Amino acid sequence: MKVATHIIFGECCLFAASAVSDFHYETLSVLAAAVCSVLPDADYPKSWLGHQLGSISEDLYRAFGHRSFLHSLLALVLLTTTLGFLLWWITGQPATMIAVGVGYGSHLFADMMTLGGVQLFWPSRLIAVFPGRDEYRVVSGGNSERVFVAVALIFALLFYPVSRVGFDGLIYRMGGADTLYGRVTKVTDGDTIEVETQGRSTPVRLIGVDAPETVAPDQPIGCYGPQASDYTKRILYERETDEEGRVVREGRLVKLEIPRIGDSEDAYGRTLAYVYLDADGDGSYERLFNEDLIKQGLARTTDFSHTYRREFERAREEAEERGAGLWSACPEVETS
Amino acid sequence: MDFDTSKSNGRDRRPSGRGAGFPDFSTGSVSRPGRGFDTPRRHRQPRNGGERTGDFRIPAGARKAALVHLALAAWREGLLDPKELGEVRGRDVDEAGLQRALYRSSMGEIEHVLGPIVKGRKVVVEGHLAGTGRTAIERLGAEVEELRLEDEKRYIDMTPMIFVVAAVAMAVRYVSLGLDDQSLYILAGIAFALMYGLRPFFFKMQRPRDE
Repeated sequence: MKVATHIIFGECCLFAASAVSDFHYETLSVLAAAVCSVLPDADYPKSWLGHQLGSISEDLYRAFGHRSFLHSLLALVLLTTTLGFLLWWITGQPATMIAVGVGYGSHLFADMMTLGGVQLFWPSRLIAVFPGRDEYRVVSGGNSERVFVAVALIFALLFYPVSRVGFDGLIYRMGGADTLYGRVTKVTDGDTIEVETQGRSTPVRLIGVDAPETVAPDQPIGCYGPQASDYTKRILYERETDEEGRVVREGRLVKLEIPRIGDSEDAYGRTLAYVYLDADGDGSYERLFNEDLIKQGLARTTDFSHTYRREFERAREEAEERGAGLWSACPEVETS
Repeated sequence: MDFDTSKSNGRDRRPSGRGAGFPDFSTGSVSRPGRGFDTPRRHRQPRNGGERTGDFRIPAGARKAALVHLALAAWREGLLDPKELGEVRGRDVDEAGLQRALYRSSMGEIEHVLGPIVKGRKVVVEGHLAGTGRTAIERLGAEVEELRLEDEKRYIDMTPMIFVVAAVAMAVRYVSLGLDDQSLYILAGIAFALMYGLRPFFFKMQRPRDE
């Protein structure tokens, strides 16, 4: 198969793996998957990589032959545990190790779908093929490979947006959400507020964030908890005054987004919601306060599924890299 | 077509084999070899000189193909009376006719006819006797020897892995119920539904066992 075929299929597999499993990736992981998806062809001097490697490729070909050792599960495990761990150690992102395994594995799987098959269980000389019938397998360089690339490209384009929000995020989005508008009447701590909506006051717990405790009776005040609580108070309980300085509204108007999938209340009877602010004053309510807390380093992320889990995880990683808020003030804090 | 109009329906006639040119004026039964021009092919030399006398040499194939080739080999050796097969319907048949009749016959019937002939003998297969073919011949009491090439490629079909994935998807559905993970439940459900819906295609994609 051609280099482009392997790269497209490798990225397709990475996006699919990220969409259905619990890891998110950055650009480096995409590059790692692309590079590793062509690595096994180092044992074939006539391949693109073989041309680049020159004598190394010829030596590998003489020693093992094409589609043998470098196309085996053994090589996959060896490369993932060495190069994968190395990249993880350098970048601090476990997704790079997964990308190495997925990219390399995608090459083996793609070659298994060709007429020639691969010696997947090397040193055994058994040739693994998928599917078993010859007529259903891809002919390298033929029309069937073009069809294969086209299908892989379509799936890659389909999986890419899903991989960015995660499959759980997609499901929560498809389930939709109920929207309520209300006024913040009280800020309990960094991640808990009370909102007056439809004539009654409702305790609201912000979804996906975990600010350090400040008011829990059986727990000490958490590191950076007061700062998180103060920030929430400052933003959400901001008094609105008119031009003459008279208080028009005690708390801020917010939009609550309550997902239809999953529990709408937690164990303490608090409504679980995303809180949106009208930051520009144009009535659009687009600023997600939950994410804001994470970006400022005032809260950690929770580890259960919800609509914006991937986005929150990315925001947390950025805050952690910047050393924002509790990530520099409380270095011993756990990441989840 | 040659029709046998005798009352005995041809049961008492000698096996004609491919030897339409061999005159057989015997009036004896199978158990009592005839006189005159009877040519007992049981004692003919094997045509393939490579094996010892009494060995059968057949091409590789499926279980039924192997049994058919073995029956044809036995018939060439003069050991098989075609009229023992119901599908022959008592007619005189040539090799092509016998082959057609054998393919129409059930494997059980062919095994029944072949059993006494191949018991204790050696069957040399030119290649790989895949699937249940080897078991079938060994069950008849024959010794099977496969002739394999040094550089012969041997394939392993990974298609059944799909069924493993389907089983895992089914298991994950129940695990996700226990974990109260709705998105995982939906994902596993979609995966299992896809696997189940495409099951006929996956079966079709598998490498034929007896190839």
